[in-house]
Amino acid sequence: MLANVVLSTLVVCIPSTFLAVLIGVPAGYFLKIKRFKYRKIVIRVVYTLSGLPPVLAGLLVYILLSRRGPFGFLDILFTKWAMIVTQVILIIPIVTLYTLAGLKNIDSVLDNLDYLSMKGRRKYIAIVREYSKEIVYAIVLGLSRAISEVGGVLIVGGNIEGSTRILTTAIIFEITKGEFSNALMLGAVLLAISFTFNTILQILQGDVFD
Amino acid sequence: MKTQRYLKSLIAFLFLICVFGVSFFSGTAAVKTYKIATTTSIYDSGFLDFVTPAFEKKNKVKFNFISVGSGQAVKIFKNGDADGIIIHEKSFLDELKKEKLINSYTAFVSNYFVLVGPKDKKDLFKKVKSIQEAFVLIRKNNFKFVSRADNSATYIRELEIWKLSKLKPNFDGYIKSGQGMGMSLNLANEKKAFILTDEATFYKMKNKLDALDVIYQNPNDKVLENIYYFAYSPKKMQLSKFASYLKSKEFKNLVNSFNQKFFKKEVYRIVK
Repeated sequence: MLANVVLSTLVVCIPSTFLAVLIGVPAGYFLKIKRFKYRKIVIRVVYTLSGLPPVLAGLLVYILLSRRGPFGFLDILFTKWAMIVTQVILIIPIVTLYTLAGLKNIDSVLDNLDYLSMKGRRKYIAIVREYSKEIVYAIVLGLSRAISEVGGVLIVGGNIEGSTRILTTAIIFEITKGEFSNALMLGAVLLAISFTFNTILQILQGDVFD
Repeated sequence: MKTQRYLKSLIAFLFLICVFGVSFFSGTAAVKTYKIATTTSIYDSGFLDFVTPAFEKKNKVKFNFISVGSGQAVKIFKNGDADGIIIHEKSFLDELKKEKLINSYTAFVSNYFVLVGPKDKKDLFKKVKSIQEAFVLIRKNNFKFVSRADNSATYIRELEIWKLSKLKPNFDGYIKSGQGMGMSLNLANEKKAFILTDEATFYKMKNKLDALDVIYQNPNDKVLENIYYFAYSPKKMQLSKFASYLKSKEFKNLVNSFNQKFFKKEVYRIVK
């Protein structure tokens, strides 16, 4: 039973972080270097959304995915997909915001790349290399949010045993039953997973990219 | 050290792939899955998980229970996000029937609502003859009373009792928890307050609720009767099989063994 909950947790949190980074990092880069009319307002919106309450995200996704909602035909409410969608929405602003803040000296880096006449794919690979530490840190932030989040995934996932029950929603479930020791045990597992992730990422950050 | 570098990224990558791989394909075998919105009490007590596996196995189906308050369960069902529903508030079902969202409903088990409260106040309620009288006594003494105050069947029943006792629950001791049965019981235990609850949830949690005891119960009072019903969408006629299973001998035996295993007495009763 525990193995299933742990697996579900990973299956929801890793892809959602992955997708959020895939969208959030380029978005942050774009906001950093491009100048356009409503840039300041967009950045302010990103700041606001980075603090989006998970229950609100959950409610919105619920309404959208419900059979009566605009995306009801997808039939993914109360599945892991719905949970991933919710978490991606929650994580993108955080990753975007961090990328925005992390791209220090990007102008001089771009100047250098221009000087070396790097273009297209090679240019972006060089930028990713230069800022790999920041990107890994953005992943850490996203993953931390994903793994600790409960309000949103509880609403759209429904805490179904063997399918959408993940560690955080299982903890809530144990608390409602008054099984505090079980809840505590699950909490310890959650922390252990978080520790493992952070260790892996730290190794990546330290050894691979240095 | 280039090889080591790539090895590490490779390990990380493989780890990702593994997780992705096992992900959605695990547990999604070729069985038909039905989503059933249920009220928290009958799911949290472990009852549904105890009585359904036999049926699931025999008919090659899988039930996904979404355990929420009765009000939300009805909403989920109305939106078409669940194929079936298990609740203990008949008026909700009559409404669904009127809207032609269900054809009929099946009453399958019942238990009783009981008034629980702080052990040390038990003596005060010795002479109480009805649940209404007990409520009057609580109101008069301004004792603490935890109300779920959500759209749940238990809350609806509580309001009904307040109405029967011709009182409004607007006194200082009246605490609105806004949470499910289990959490509200925890709250009542911490605050040493009275609370209306279903027997099964209370007995299941009793060893964690050290301050509480049953203050008033009456199996002959209709207002304290708590019947659970199953209904399904006409679009999912296959679920009629489950409805008839709930009336079968096999199901009755399972209910008996559940009672024996967890309560050592008859808490869930078969509805004829």
